[in-house]
Amino acid sequence: MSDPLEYKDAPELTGEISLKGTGYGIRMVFPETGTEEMLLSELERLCSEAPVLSGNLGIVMDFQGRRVSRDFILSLLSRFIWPRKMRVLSWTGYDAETLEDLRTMGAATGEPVPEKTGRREKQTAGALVLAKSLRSGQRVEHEGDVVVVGHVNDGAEVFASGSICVWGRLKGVAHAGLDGHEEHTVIAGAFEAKQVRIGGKVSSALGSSMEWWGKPVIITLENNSLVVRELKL
Amino acid sequence: MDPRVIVVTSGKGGVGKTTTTSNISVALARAGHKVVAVDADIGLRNLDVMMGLENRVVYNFIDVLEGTCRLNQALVRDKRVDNLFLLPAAQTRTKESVNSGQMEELCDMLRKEFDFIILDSPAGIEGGFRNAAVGADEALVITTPEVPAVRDADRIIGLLESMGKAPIRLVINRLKSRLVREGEMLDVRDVLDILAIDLIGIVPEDESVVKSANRGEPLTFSDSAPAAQAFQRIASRLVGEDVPFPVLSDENGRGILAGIRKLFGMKG
Repeated sequence: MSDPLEYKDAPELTGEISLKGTGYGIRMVFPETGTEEMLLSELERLCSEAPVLSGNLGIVMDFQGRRVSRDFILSLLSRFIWPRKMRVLSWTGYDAETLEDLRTMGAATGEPVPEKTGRREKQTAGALVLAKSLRSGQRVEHEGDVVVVGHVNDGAEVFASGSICVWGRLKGVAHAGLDGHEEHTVIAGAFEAKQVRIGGKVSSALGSSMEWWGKPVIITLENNSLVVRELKL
Repeated sequence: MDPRVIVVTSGKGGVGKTTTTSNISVALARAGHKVVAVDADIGLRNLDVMMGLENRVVYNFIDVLEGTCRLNQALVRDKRVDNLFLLPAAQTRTKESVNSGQMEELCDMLRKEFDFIILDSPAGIEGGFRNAAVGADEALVITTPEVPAVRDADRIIGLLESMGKAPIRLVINRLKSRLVREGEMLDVRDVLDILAIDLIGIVPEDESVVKSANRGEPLTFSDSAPAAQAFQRIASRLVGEDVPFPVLSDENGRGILAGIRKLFGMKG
């Protein structure tokens, strides 16, 4: 019997759309690489090979971190969703500009609200785990916790309703606890940010003179103040 | 060899995109490749002046795209170097005058004629940069070892990665050894730590660059200036030659780049 644990090199981004079966139907996950024309052709192929997409199953369109153009959204609607009567439950992703476009058009974003089945369903999404660094100008928004297995560079931003954990250097802005609950935390492998936020609290009097600068920290909100503790493992 | 289309960009202005474009274009042409340097900075063109060819500019690439002239009428052949051409930008138009489809069409036209197409991008992250980059396969990102420049370079690298450009390589320009020693300037390791892309060259601060810009004579016409030699090495690495990074040491003989050489597995 072979060991269930397989070692693989970091997967290359194959640029393919993947379909995953879930409790509510199908999750259509779009890759972050590849041109939009390629994705539309890929989708044509998938639709002809998987008639289940036109059935009654609910579909969640997951764009991950991809910045999706408005033209692409329109193409999806006019070439696939309407003609094939696909039942889209929601449009998700974590690129802030894409989410903004989707919200402005009134699309449901975030995880689909499950129908009452009598079982207890999770109301929020699980943690978003990003196995990459965020570069300046990249902005991530997520309902839930966010784990960045990489650095958050100066000029990058992470917004989470839950907690934020950055394995590498945190130099950009992390804003945890957007759901208003005070128990959320910001954890960083090396803290070098000029500003950090939890809930409604912003701390901006930060700099390299602080003794925990550049060190692993855990930041919490206690009695309406942001408290930093060096993480000593 | 397939034609190579490379965009030279930075995000921040004034870090040396045009200087790099003109110097590596000359170096590649002198090595025997057929090269066109394309000025993609519509409305604020500089490449023609840097290359000393501004008096011979009659048409520009917008004229080519609009059908006002043929491509070979717009190309300015450099009489000082065989195989080197300039395709100028329009000074009297703006960046809204072309769209990305047209830029891709232009690059396809140039691929039929040239071994290397080097596009000098404007500063910024908006339409001008996107138009310069859309037809390219590879990118050279120029930065100086300064916090604002590095942050802008990080932004531009993120955009280039999302556009699928590869490889994306870094040139660190205007390095001042004395300031690095004094801890006043970011060192090469700090920059690479943040930007996390392959380094293709380090160009030291060199007064000859100012003189050559004003004279319209790219440095790589003469071999002696330190910056000229650095640009020459970048051109060689671009064609796949394994050129070691030189030892830049301070007055105590300590190698400033020793750490970098270790990073690349070379003996410090």
